[in-house]
Amino acid sequence: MDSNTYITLFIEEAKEHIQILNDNLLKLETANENNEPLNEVFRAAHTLKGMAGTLGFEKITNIAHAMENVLDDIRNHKMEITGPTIDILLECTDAMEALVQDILELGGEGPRDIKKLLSKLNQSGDSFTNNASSRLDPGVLKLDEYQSNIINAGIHQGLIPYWVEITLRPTCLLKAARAYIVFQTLEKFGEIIKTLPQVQDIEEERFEDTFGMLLLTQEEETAIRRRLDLISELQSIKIDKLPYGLEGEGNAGSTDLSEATDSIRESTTVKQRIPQDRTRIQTRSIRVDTEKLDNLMNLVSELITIKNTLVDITEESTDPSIKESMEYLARITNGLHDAVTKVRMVPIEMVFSRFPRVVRDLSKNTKKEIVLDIVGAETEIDRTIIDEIGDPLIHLLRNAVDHGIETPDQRIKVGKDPVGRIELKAHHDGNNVVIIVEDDGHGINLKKIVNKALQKGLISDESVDNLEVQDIINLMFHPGFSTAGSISNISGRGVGMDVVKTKVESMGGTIDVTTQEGMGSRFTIRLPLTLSIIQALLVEVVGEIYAIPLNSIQEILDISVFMIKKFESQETIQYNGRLLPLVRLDEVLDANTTRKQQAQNMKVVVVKKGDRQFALSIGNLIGQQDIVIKTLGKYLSSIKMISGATILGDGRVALILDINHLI
Amino acid sequence: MASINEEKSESMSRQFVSFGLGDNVYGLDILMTESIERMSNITRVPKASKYVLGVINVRGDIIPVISLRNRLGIGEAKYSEDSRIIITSFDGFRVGVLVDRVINVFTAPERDIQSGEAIFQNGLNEHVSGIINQESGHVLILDLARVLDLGGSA
Repeated sequence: MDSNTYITLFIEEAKEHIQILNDNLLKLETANENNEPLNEVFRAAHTLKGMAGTLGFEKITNIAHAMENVLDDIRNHKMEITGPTIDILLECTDAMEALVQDILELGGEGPRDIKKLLSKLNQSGDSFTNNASSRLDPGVLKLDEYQSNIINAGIHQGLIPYWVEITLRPTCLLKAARAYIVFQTLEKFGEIIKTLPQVQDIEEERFEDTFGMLLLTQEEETAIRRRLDLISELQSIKIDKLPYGLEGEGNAGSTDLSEATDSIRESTTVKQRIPQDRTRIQTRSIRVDTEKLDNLMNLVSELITIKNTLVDITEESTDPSIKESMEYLARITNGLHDAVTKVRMVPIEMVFSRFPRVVRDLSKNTKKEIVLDIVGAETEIDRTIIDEIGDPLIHLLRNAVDHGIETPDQRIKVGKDPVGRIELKAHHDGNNVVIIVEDDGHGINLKKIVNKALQKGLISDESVDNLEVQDIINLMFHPGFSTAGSISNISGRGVGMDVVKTKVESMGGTIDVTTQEGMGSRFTIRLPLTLSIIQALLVEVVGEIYAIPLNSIQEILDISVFMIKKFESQETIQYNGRLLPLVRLDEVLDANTTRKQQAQNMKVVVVKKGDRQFALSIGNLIGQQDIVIKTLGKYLSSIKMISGATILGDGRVALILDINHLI
Repeated sequence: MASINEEKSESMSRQFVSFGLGDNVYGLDILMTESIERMSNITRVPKASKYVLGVINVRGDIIPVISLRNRLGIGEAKYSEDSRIIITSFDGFRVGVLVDRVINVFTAPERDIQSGEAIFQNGLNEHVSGIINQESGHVLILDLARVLDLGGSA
């Protein structure tokens, strides 16, 4: 591994720990009683400090260190957890996140100024600066019987037990070497009975800046100090005479001893705890570059294609062993495909986890009280979708906070709980993932939308009366539409709902809105489980084969030409008691329409475009198939009605129709 | 461009794939070519430019194919035993170019490449960036970016 690999690893892990910080700081804010979030935060800050320190990222190290101090005070009940404290700690988390981003983009920490932040932190935990080694936790420096005996024997001979605690300068590079010099020096005075952390840990540099030794000597404290003062890079030297009673079996002295050693214990125990936790979680998973996964997916796609080819070739064969082998091959490739797809799936929590923080900040900014309920964060979804869905969801959440939820006063006035509720839910539904953002605010103000649309000239005065609720809601998705009366810094960033819709649709998904005045609104996003393989209907249009994604097809009909009614130039058919426009695929596709005599019967698929339906006449139905989606490439990207292509069993290319852009 | 070419011309040389199209011999910088394929089934793409014949499957990748004859206005695409599709790759675009026949790969020193502007009157032929005088005749160097209509110049 070169240092770049380390940095990549660092960035990945740092992001995780920053997420842990974010999550648990929020938990801390609400659940004071529970110590677990506090410990989590502490661990994360500590790990970050260690990782950043190793790679020489000073600013992150400093921030994490200062955070640790504050957290330590909280843990030792020297400080209360208050809103402002959490705010500052969150600010620190943000700063570290920004620094990590800098490292990612610039390769270094960048010129960000963290002094202000640090001094803020120091003020909030003003006690931490000089109390680093004055805490008490009984029973830490337990001496075993052997050690107690030595000390007792020593005291009988007139020797004095000292607790010597050395804090190295943070800038000290070779800490173990420095500690070694200290050992050497002390051993000239007498015997070192015990060290904290253990000698081995000190030798392997598994300690913070501070370590301690129990020295049994006949020298005076001043003499020891004088010698230690000669060693460079020592920040502070503390020498305490131990009030060690002769009668003590080690227990009597432990109270006082441990008072001086708590800070050391802290760092060592935390260090030990982390590896344990990590092994428990991580032994069953490994980190894999997504590029490798993509590559694997491509290979599996190739395999499916060649399998389809083989199926075609061997179709005529009557040899039962070939048939059997082909079936076996089909089963394996399908299994492999499922497995790879699953590997690429990650819990949607990866996106959701940052939202509690987002909502918290938003609610603070808007002075609204809001609870975010997340349900189904474990729902798995394709990695590629994860990367894309974050921004649209943030936009919806912003909208919910900004436009949906009322202020506490307003809510009380209408008899609602002053605390607003936003629900973020995810679940699987067949081959789709459904994500719902629901708020219990005042609902979408339809009148406002109509007025705005009139103002912007999106609709005409005459058409207003004919608008149905759904039509009005659809106006919201019109490019350039933003309902915020005044542009706030929360939702009015010039990104409209149309961007959300476009994004969702570009992933092959749909978005629906329901709203009820005074009760709230619900945005439902439906996305395919995976973007690379879909079920499609293969159809033949004048000798050309096209694929229509199955999720846009509602029904396949056999109709007689006599059922086609023509109004002016528009052909229509009756469907469920309503007229549907009939679109002839061969015409839309400019196919070679030297139409053979019209057949008496034709096949028609009913498809959905947004909330409109239309009937699409197709030539022959070939069948349903799992197809691997391939892009047409940059060169043909302007052709909207084709969303991609797939390779058929015989190696030919079939184009995939994008129903939304067909007409 | 011309002045730079002259400065570097002493040591620099470029490699080209030469191919025949109608009566002319054209060349394409080899750095822009990926492979040369025999004809295969071309799937027509609706609503594409006239000179886009469609897409083909090249070992699992979908590649658009254009007819250079149509593009250069020499006539309609002609298919024969000698027809080849040169897969080009340029600025993230991968496009197959259908030509009548592929001739060879040759190296020409920069100084032998005469700028297209010097020969054609005022952009009369916007698809040719230069001309090389070979023993066997003249080779017209294609400006791929212009041929593919990507804007800018190759």
